[in-house]
Amino acid sequence: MQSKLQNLVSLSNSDYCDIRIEETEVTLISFRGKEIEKMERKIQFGGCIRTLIGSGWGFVAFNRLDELEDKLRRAEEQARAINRVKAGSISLAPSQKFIDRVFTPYREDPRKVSLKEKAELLEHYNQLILETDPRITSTRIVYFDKHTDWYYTNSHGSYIYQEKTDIGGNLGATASDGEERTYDSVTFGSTNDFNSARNHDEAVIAAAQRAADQLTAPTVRGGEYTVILDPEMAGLFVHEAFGHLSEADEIYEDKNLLKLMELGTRYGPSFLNIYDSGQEWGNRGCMKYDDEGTPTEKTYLIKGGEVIGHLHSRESASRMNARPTGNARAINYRFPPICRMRSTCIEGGKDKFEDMLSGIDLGVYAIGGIGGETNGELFTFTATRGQMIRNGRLAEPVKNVTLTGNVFHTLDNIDKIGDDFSFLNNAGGCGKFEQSPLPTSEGSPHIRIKNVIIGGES
Amino acid sequence: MDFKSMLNPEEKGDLLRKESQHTTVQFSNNRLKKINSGESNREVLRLIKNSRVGLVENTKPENNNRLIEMAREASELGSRVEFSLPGQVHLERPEICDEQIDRLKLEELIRPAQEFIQKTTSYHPDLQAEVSVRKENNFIKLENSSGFSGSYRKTQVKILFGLRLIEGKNLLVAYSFPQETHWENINWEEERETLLQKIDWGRKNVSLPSGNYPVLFIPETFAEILHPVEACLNGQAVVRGLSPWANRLEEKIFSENFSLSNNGLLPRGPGSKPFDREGVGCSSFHLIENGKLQNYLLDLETAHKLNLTPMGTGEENGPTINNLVMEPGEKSFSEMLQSIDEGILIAGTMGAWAGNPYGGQVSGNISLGYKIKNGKIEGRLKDAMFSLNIFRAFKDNISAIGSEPKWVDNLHLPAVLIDPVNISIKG
Repeated sequence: MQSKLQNLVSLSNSDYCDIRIEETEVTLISFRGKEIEKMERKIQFGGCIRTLIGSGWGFVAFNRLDELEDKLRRAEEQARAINRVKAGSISLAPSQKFIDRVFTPYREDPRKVSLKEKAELLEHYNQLILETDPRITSTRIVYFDKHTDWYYTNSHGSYIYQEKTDIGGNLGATASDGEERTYDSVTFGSTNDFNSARNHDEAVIAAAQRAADQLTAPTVRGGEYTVILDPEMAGLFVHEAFGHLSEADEIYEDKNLLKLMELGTRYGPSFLNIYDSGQEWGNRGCMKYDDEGTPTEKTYLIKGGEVIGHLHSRESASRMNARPTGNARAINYRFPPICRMRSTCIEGGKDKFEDMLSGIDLGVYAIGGIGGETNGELFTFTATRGQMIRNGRLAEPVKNVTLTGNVFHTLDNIDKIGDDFSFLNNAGGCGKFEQSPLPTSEGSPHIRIKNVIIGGES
Repeated sequence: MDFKSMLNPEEKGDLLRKESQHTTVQFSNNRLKKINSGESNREVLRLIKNSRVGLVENTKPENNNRLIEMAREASELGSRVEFSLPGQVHLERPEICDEQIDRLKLEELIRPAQEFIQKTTSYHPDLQAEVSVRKENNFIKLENSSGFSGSYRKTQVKILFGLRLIEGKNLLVAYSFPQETHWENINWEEERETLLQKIDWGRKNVSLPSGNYPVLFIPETFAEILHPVEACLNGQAVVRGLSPWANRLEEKIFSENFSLSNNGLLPRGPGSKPFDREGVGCSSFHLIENGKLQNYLLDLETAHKLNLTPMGTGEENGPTINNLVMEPGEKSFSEMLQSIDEGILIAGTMGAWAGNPYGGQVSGNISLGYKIKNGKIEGRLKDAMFSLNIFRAFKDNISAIGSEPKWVDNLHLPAVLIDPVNISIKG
């Protein structure tokens, strides 16, 4: 593979060229209700060539490794077509030449566990959920593991083989009383350990029970509240609301966004620290090299309430006079790398959970994150469940808790950060443009935010 | 490859092959940024043995032995199915292939996008446009062990238009995603005018107290709140008892003026095709007719379980609409707007999908919303959320249905006026 790819790169008439070849094997198992829903395997084999000429990038993806030189020429033709109409030229921030082979440091390799054992484990969880409460009407169990052989070479002389593993699962319970339906789940994920899928019996039963108990919970009243986010919801918030805005390819060509995200801008309290790391080994999204062959690192985005960094590719780093941070990622060989997150975290603070509760006369505790969306300035997130806070104490459970607001005001309104940091890995992933789901993870303690709007009947 | 010779006599199954080529030209922040192209060769083998299914997807060339081996292994543990695969039937062939698409050169994809950007920036110099133009050429072939063998070509043009305007701390974003099988069907002028109108209306911020208001949904946002209907019509949700509409065919569920059908044979429909992933011919049928539930969306498995006839909506992830068509009403958009004394136009939502679809409750952020006063747009409403139960709303609260339907992906929908909708607004 090495000589084939390096020969091809040497034929290129471009300013820069890189090639990736990937072979991925996927196992996917799902259960719904009493039965197994899907048993699926995938072999995803393919590659891509990317060329840079002047101001233009060309990119060609393929499944067949024949006629590679034609494909290279097509990528060059595309780059030239852009270069003809677009002034200037693109430069790439310097990166070292790397010759490396990287193997996954497994705790337990999922390929060494039989399909039968995986299916039986999931069936066991499925059964536990169904038996928890008569109001449980269905389950949603999803498990996957992926193993990728990744080959990379570029015209600066790097040649890297990287083994990548991704494991994720969701063990969900749906409850119903005929009218209403509620949902809760346990999730897991890892980049090196099948064991992350094991030992969830107690958590699964608790989640199923919560789903059933939520049926009788009232819908939260819409309005403005002081809100405590649990680590999962806070992780969702930092990823969706701030992480995406820190992606430098979005920032550098938009002067207004650049101003909002300028280094030195203050958001949040002086004790707020946010970082994105590719080195939290074992957490989804972490790896030694990104899809441009740049080593990953721990990148602070906010330190002491001040913007101090962005998530860079080599191109964005060059444009913004920064270092590449190892955030150029592609979901697979069909796509060029773009600035993406890895494991995005709010650093732990010093507040105890009880201290966060005290002083709240009427508030909401938002627990777990079903999903969220942002359009830059605005965000909307839905919690898996909620609990009212009354007179400094946790009170009755509520459901349909959806938070919304302006990202920057909301960061400014963070007034307490917990001392209970934890990482969160689940079976989902991050979406940007057409590239979804990319494995990522989050980490956060509990955080408290004032003046958050919660939707619902008011 | 010869499909039948791959299987043992006791095995059944089907093999789907998809070959496609695409080219995408992408403008970002008013400038040509990227050109991508790709060739994809993908096959999916579904192998059924002892009534259990194993699925394997493969993109590696010359990989039959591994493909079969993995499918056999997966089928030993796979889900149980009882349906039989369809044999050969006569297929109707809707018009879905534009020969011109293959011949379109890079420059021809670039030029109209450049014009779009020139005209938007001459309208307002601070407008940042994002345009992506994608052309696709697809060849689909399906064979099964019951003798079905069919193939078709389909072309697609997918465009993304986005305009962003930042003035002070206001970020105003408007998007559209037209998708057509034929190049000439893309209406560049109209897309531009509609987006500029959305920007223009949104430059002034206005406020409104929280409460119940008449709300006008444009086709794009109506598509968002229609999502629970699609989910409840899905045969899988019916079989699993998740859908509240199980065992309710012929019952009245919505108001008289609400009719929704699936049509897989519409000429130039984005979701049209001769047959589905399982070899069942696509067709046209009512899902809801004058408020009455008529049919579910089915694939072979759910049709078998419900003892109904599959009608060509079986896809890789279960029952899926071909094209979803809502019957338009009689009022034009401007007539509907003028009929509102005080209300809201919702042109963009966020998070509307997040709730539980089977309860019909939809709530989300209004990412682009306008206040209507005395039949006119007064300005943009920010930090607002909407919340409604669409089961109740589509039964009792549809005040008007628009007469000018529009494609939103593979949904053909009018604007719809619903009164009342609960709105919460910050501040």
